[in-house]
Amino acid sequence: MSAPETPVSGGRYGLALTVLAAIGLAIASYLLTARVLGEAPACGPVKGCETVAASEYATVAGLPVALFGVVFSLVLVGACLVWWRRADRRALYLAYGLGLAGIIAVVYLTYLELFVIEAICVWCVSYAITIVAGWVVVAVAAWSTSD
Amino acid sequence: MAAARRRSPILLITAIVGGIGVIVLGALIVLQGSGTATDATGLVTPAAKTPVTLADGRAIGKADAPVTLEVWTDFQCPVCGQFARTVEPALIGTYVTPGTLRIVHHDAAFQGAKSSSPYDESIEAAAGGRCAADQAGYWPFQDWVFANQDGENKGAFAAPRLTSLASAAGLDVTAWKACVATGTQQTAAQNETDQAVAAGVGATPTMHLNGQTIVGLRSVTELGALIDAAAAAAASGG
Repeated sequence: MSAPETPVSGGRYGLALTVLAAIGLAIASYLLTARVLGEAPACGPVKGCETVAASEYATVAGLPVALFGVVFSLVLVGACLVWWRRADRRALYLAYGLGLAGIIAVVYLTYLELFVIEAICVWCVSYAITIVAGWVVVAVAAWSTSD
Repeated sequence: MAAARRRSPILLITAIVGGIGVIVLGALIVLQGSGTATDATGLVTPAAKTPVTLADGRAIGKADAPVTLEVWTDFQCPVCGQFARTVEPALIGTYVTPGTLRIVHHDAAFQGAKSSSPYDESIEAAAGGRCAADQAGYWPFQDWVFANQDGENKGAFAAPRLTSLASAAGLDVTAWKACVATGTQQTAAQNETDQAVAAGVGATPTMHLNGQTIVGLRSVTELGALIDAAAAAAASGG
């Protein structure tokens, strides 16, 4: 077996992906920490993250939504790292599938913010942007690199 | 390379994840808001109805209870709703009924001020609560109002719906409407809100437990421990 003829490393795509996923992980971790260690939910005079955090949609089955974000981002960072450093294309496909599922999730959560809770949390929007941007990079990487 | 691309599972992944995602997303949006019992008028029936034997205006519990929990609340505040629907019934069952605790509600009805509408849903609901208290019906009224929160400043507590809630709570609606129409209780609710803000209440629910300030939603376990400690301190003369 000879070495592959085409580049297999994630290269710059892998770096960009890993950085985006890591930013997402940092945001989700911050939101989870704020949820667990921060002040108790209350209705303050301003709308925004407090309103979103105070809503019934901030938890799913009793667990903070941010916890799902942290777990999701951990897996995503792992997949991006594996593709970037080890050029395992299965990791790229995993990141692609995760990213797509993530986009659907953040679309739903953003819909809740805009039309149900009627408050926008900048941290949630930033997280959504990292998910969408990361998926675009994965898609470009998947189509522009080969096995 | 073309052959490799044809073998790429990208399209398959897109179809599977996208398909499942769209189905789940659609189901979530369709199911949203369902799952609660509504009566013939479309109102949500309170899951727990406050026992009214110890009700005393906007307070509940024996006047000589060793522990007093004062709660500054806003009928439009979703966290106050969570508190009223989930925490308060447990506190009433465990501490108010045996005579350990007295809960006193105060208005901190400032969520309506976020709206540009001249009809302030927080103040109007608070006034409705005060008028309900005039006929010893505050607690059933608050049960119904908190069970029927539906966003802030979106008409959940518009006058016709508040009237429906007063009726559902078993109030004398004619007397209640006459009370609300005077505007006196709106002024009283606004005054109490202003006093609360001046005293440092910046969010709801804010509680005073025998003088100890607690801001925001707390669990039954956490509040129970504080009530036990306050009762023990009161018993020892502390």
